[in-house]
Amino acid sequence: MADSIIPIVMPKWGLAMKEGSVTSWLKNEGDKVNKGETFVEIETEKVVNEFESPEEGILLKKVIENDIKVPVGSLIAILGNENTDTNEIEKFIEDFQSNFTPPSDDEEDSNLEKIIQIKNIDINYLQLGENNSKNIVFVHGFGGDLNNWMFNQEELSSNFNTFSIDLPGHGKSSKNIDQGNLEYLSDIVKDFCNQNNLEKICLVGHSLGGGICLNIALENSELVESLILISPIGLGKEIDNYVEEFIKSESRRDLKPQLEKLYYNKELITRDLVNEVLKFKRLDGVEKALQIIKDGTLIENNNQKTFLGDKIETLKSKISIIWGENDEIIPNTHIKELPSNIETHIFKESGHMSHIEKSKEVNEIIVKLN
Amino acid sequence: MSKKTFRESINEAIKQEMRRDENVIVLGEDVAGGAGTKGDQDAWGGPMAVTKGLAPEFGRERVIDTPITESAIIGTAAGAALTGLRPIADLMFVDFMGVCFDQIFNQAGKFRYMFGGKAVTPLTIRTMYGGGLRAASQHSQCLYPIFTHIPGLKVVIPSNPYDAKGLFVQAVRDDDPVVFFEHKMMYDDEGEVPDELYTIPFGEANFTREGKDVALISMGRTVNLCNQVADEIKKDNISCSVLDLRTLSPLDEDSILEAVEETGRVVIVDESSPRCNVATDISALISDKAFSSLKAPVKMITPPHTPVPFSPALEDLYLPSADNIKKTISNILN
Repeated sequence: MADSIIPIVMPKWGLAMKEGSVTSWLKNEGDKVNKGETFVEIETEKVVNEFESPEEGILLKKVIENDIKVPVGSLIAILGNENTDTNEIEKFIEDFQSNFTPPSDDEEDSNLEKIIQIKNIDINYLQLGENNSKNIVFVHGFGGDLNNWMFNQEELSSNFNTFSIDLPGHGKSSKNIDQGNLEYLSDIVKDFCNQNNLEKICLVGHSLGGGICLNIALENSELVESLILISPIGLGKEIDNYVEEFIKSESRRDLKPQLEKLYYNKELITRDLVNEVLKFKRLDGVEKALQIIKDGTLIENNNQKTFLGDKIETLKSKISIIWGENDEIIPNTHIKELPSNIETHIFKESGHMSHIEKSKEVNEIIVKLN
Repeated sequence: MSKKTFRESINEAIKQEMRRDENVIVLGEDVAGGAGTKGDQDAWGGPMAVTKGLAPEFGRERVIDTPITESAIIGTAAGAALTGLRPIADLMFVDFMGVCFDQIFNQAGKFRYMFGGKAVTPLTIRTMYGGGLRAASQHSQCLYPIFTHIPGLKVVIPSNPYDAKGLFVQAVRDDDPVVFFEHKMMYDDEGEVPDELYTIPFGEANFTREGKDVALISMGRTVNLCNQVADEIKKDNISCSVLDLRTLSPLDEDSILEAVEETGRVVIVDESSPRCNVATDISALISDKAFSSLKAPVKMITPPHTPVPFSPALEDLYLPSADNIKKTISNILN
């Protein structure tokens, strides 16, 4: 039987998250919730996602109302068993609330991010779980940043030494780049691993980052022990015009339909999320940097410029390739062209961003491969 | 990215644009302070210290203390803009526009049109507006509706430090005269502002809150009042969207209509005097283009049609308040 009182608090998804709100409850008070079962939807400034219960129990009380923003760590619900006394619940909530202090604004979490100089440009990165021995390096896709791994990195950092980086021209890394071909981007990531003395790493790459990781693994089998590619470039010709349209879109109205192509669940694209992306796009130098990477690595004559599929048989690293069934950017049919001995996964109800829309499943695959 | 005040974000925008482009200059009364004396140099940085630190870095040739003559400041700046510089002129209190308005609306605002599109006037006029400082009726007016009325002028009115920097950089880089309104009670407001340069395009309003019952539409300082109300009445199960116009000219009509269509109920909060102001203009736009979406009359919260009172008690009553907005919301919901 479950403990009599199991507090459920507002989770912290990614470093930028300071507060969140409940958008809807998927269970009613009195319902049983299994461990790992999603029972509430939580909205942050960046994204709406389902929250999985850390424990098993009966949902005894919803402590906060819908759509009210509360700081990370606030009590949002009580789980427990059917014998728990109502007074005991009330007393627990009262004690919790009187002892709770929200994380102060001065605690600049983003200080955990660090800048390292590689090939004369600044590369911003985040390391979590430094006491663990096995290394994971996350590489995001075109137009993204290290926050794209908010549902993966923190979770996996309990067992792995994890790094996520902002690619050149992205996030908080330098925007003034003069080349954007695959060799250059691969060298940046490889040098990053070397400068941090990382060996036998697991590379996790999404889309553009997937192509970069595959390229590194093909040429440096001693460095890359395992490889996870999520909707990667480089395995086929077709690609949506997203890349061109993303660069071109200057307003919220133009950008929103483009970002909607990334997800199966279009409701994830809130005005706030579009504004966050616009904030990045409007920094001086970003448009030019994106254009350089587009021309250098991504697009040639409306098709993908990079093709690595013919070399994949020579790959020595362990590999697993993940795709969303509803990917509108790069078709998941590219999986079919691969040699049959390669492990592949296609997730239902998932678009181009499986590491966000199917984070739990993706994390399980990463753990299993290592 | 770090926390900066409204004052710091504008100071940083000016500084970084002056470093980037040597044609950018600053001129106005005491924008440095101490010019021509043996006393303290860079003593002022403007009345609110927004331009402090510019003169030591860029020199007196690019940070020019002018005589106390608004017509000379704006006239000089308009001419400099026409001949290739990108001046940032400080009109200090917008209440003083009376003595230099010819240069603004009939000269700077018309050059592009009178010279067949062959001349551009990349002029930014910074100016302070609004009540709350107990500065009486000659130093507390809003007056942005007057500038908004003039084709050929762009009118920018940020509500927070992030927008202030991005809109200011856009103003400096824009080839038309831009009047940039800073509420005098907002300089210590704080927010996250990137250290890098960035721009926010004109004519894109911003939803600062999402909601489905009522849309609050506002500009400048009163946007924060609307945000506060939207947050507070959530517990009464009322969900308000808040639309921050950001620029009054150009005006983002599409976002206004979007806000009306999503909610059907609109409260416009405008600190300027009620006749022919931004609230009346938007109200007219809504009744023309979104009448069928309305579930209740469009409400306007503005001061009464009087000069801004000097008495602190009366000034507080004069200005739009959270209570006022809440009462109006509850009236149109019932």
